[in-house]
Amino acid sequence: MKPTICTTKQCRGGVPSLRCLAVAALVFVALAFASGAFAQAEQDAAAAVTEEGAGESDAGPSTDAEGEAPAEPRAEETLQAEAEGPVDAAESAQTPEELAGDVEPTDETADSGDEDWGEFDDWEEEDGGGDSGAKAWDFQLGGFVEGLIAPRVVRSSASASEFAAAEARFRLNLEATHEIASARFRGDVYADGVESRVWFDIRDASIFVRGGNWFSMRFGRQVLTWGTGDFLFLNDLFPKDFNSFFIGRADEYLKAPSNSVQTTFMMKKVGLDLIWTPIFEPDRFINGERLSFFNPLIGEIQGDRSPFSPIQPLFPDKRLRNGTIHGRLYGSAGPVELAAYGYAGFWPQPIALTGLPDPTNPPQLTYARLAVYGASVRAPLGGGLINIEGAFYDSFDDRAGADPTTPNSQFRGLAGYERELFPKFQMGLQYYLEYTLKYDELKSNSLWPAYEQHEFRHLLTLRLTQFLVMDNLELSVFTFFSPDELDTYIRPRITYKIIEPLAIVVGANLMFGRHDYTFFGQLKENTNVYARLRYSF
Amino acid sequence: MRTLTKTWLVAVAAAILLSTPTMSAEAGDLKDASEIVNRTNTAQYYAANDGRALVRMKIVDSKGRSQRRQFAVLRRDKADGGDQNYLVVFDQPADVRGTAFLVKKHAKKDDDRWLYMPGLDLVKRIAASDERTSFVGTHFFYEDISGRQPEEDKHQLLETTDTEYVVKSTPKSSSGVEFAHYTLYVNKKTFLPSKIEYVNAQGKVYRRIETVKVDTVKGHPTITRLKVSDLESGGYTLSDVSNVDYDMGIPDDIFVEGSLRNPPQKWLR
Repeated sequence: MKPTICTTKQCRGGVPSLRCLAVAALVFVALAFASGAFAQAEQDAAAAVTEEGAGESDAGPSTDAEGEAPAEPRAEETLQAEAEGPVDAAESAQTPEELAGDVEPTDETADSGDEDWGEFDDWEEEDGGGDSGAKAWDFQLGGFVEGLIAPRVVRSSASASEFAAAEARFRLNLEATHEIASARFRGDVYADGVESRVWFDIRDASIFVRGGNWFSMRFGRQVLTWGTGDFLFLNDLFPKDFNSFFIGRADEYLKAPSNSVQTTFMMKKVGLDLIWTPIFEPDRFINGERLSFFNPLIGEIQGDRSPFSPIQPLFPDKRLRNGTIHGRLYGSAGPVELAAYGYAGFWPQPIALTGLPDPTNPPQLTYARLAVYGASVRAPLGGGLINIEGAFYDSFDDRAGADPTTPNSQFRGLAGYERELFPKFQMGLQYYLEYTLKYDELKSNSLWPAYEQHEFRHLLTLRLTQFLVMDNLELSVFTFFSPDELDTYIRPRITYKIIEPLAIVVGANLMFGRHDYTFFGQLKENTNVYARLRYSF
Repeated sequence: MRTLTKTWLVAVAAAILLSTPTMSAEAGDLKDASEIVNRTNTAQYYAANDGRALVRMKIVDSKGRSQRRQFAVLRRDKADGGDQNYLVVFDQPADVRGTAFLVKKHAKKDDDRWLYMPGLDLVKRIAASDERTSFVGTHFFYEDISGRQPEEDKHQLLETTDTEYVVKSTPKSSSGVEFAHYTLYVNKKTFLPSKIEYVNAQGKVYRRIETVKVDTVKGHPTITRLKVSDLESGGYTLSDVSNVDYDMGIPDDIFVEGSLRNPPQKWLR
């Protein structure tokens, strides 16, 4: 490992935790202010309508909702509202007749109609969208501002920071759409209090071209996903970001972008996707910098206090022959969906070594070559959905399984079932298996036989989701549990849409395990709770 | 002979009694409630063979707070009153822009549904869900958007006025429905409902859907403004439909997974 890692670590002592707090506090204050201003403006608008004697509330806020620079203008409105006079509560805007429910419908329509319906005309003009069929290009701008704070709740000797995440993020989405082509940009800039720096992360910068009904192509930076699993990916070898997954960022950040060319061919009811990533894009794996993990080379949990962090694996040369190819052939027979998958490239995580340990020439972690072949089925069953997926991970540089520097081949299988148990209450169950081939050879040659995963690794997952309050409140919990590794990962989460552009998410990432070296057990010192506030525009 | 006369008298009496409500109606009025409901279902959900619309909704809760939804819909029918394909692409609110639904509606079995989440580039198939729960957080139910199968209810013609049929529909099975019955007010000319009132077990109207505006597009009368009211909470949702077109020749092969990821602009605009 390179010793220079230590110098970069020195700049992070006890100070960052203060800086984290400062960044997070600023974001929360800004968002709270924006939300307060927004709520106030809305109440004001509602009150104004009431004063004019109109039947029902609220002609104003929708015009607000179009704003492009959210926080400041609203703040001004609030100030004006306060200066102009008392603000009635919005509740009073509802007509008593309507609440009673026995009013003459025609009157009600006439009363409420004028104010409410007129708004749709304004809405049309503002958007300019759908109605003008003749327009060649359609432009869209959007994004969000978000604050995330995720304090660690378990004492960790490996990690210095008291936070798994403390960040303020700005997302910009741009899209230009034409009948046969479109261009898209989705980019983030965020101030990261944990690593004390500002990151730019372009998640999408791509161009899409359609060639009739049978061919389309998207090239550029893009996020790609396929397969039937829920948070379990067998045939999806596109890059993941496991750091984001365990620190409370939105689900979308589990997927990392790659610079790829995607081509899709459609023939009747059969589709073929071919994706080429010219330069191999690995997972954003847990490297000790932000989250600690178990390093079998040193036999202990490694966090940012370790001189070996962050792990810096050796990347394959940036040559075309080191690109990756992903393929999927899919179709359906009635309600049954079938797909076959193929992949040629590398293991997405650095679980291979450049050479055997040797005091004069320390080995480096690297990426072994990999091919994957698989298939999936998904169909409705008993009012729910069943999915079955299998994948063979062909670690073809070590088919004999005796080389300890290269991972062995594996068979991975998944069976899942989900259905709605009660209105707005969904349940999803999955069973997942990893079977390691040539296990005896692996054990007898392994550099750390005690830490190798079992020949059969079993994993069960359970997802429960309940929507309440007109879908504005979502309660959900996702649990991973391995009965053979005796470790668990629980993701409880509450999402509440406070008022249209503003949503708060509160949740936790709870990792437990009997042993330090199992998949989730190694992450137990990273257990955290988090709160995330997002203002979308 | 005597028995025969008696039977005949009873039959005449019955005929008079049964025909009383329709006495004032014009000749040619329908008398079969099921046929009226079937024609309403066709007029409202199966106009032409395919269609496009831009839907805007404003949701107002009991406290007067409002939210918006905006989405474009493409539809293609396999048969009137039968299977249909829908593609729904969301534009608002901002946090769901680009989210899309693909629905293969089946008259005789559960629909097949897929949801596309653009951030993850994930096409998620959705299990069948309760049809009488909120459609994307509005006061509309899924069933209001895609139609309730006429065979699920028993229909009784209550009244025929100069302009409307009034039909009382009672569910054959009370499982999965929150109403005891509903009353449908159907325009005699267009066969579009002007009002639907849902009545609970206590006999109280607790939910109402009203047609506010009807426009004729390519010869098809089309509801362009609807209001649904939750009379218990005081909340309501307004729905405005624009950019309507019919018989555009939308091909069946756009109702596929690829259209969720990259919506077919040719038909949406």
